[in-house]
Amino acid sequence: MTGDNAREPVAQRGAEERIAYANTLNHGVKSGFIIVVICFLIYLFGALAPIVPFSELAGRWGSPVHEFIEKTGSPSGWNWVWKLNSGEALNFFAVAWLSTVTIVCYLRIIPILIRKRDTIYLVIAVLELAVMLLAASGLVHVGGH
Amino acid sequence: MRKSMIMARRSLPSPPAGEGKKSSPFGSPKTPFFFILPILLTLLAGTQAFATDAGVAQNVDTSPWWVWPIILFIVTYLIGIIAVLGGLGGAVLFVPIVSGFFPFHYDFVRSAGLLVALSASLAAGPGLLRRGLADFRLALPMGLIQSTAAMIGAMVGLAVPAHIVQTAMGMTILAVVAILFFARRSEYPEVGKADALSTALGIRGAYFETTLEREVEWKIHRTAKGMGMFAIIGFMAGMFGLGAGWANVPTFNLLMGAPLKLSVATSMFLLSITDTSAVWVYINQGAVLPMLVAPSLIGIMLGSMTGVRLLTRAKPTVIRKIVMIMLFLAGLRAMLKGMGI
Repeated sequence: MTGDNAREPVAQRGAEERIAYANTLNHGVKSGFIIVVICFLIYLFGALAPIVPFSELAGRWGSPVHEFIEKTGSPSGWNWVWKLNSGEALNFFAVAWLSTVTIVCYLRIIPILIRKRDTIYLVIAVLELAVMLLAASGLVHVGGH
Repeated sequence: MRKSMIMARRSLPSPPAGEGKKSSPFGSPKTPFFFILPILLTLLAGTQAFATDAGVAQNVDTSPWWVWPIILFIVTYLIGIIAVLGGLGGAVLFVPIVSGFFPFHYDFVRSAGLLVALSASLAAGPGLLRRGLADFRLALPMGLIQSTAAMIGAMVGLAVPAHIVQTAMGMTILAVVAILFFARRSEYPEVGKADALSTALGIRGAYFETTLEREVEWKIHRTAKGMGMFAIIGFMAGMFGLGAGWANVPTFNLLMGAPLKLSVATSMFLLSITDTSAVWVYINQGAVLPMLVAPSLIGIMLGSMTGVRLLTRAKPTVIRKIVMIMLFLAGLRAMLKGMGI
């Protein structure tokens, strides 16, 4: 059931997909942190106008998220994609980048698992990918409190 | 980045309680913690005074907006140092402290907490995986269970009134203190025979232990029970935004019998899988406040790098005790705030 991996020496087991995952993760996370810093500086120095003016922000950030969005028009779901000319949405992009790195890493190892006929871990990886994509899709809706 | 990975590697083996010299109960005056802790406590006391003046209790903060990101940056920088020195994930300190002492709503703090945990885990991941310290075949099945549970936990957490979740989070932090206090770690637990489930999943391996200068082979048992625990931990991680390292390590190490170093490293890597699904739930709800998230991520990252430099001068057992006291106070504060006291 674990295909070629079962025949590998114990210390080398799964090394190919592990290293491929690590390399993809390395690129994703380095670029992600640079993006976080740049996007925040753009927001902070007002290079892109914020949706919520800084002067109003401190009066709003103590509110629950649904109330905050209702009163400020801040993005929710994937709305930020259409508001990328605002400082807040740009920071949503940065956070979304960091939160997508693991998904890309799983996409990277699936072909390796297929080639190695590692059925069990292929199923696990595909299911994991489905869970993360479901969460990212916004299809799982939460009732506001 | 490289330094943060080194940090993660260096902080892996937390020495057993009682190990090391004990010439003074709080270490020498040169111990970095001596300087960091009073600064942090003063800042937190300051935030309270500021918050009261600004009317935060009524959720109407009239203070200048720029004050909070600056204080937040300093506090998260110090949390980053303490987290490395104390061998903990940053989120377990970040969430109770920021939700207890800052004016941001708990919805935003949870999301930021998950992002803090996710970032630390992502940064440490490549180094841990390349060195074979984080085991892929151990992490992936547990990751599937934990990330699913974390996604559900995040949904439940956002659906339940925040004060109830915050009270429960405060209680959880107090339980974490108890776990840290009572749980004993085992460097190389005895595992007589691998169980059927772990054998079917091919979960066993070997890694090079530099302190022993030889390869350590390992296998695990009680896999089904471990999976059940990971589901519970994942649910709590998503619901409270705490990350999960505080509970993952004892589960891998004490319950399933994985070596300590492997447990810490795999737990660190596992967080990147767990928190990804949970954090997306918060992003889709719009619970991302750039003025909270960005200074926190940058502060924690820089603090972690400083923590690595201070690591050689710090006394782990003393730091661990002080971290427990801090967690206890922060957990108590969060619980009381959730209860409206």
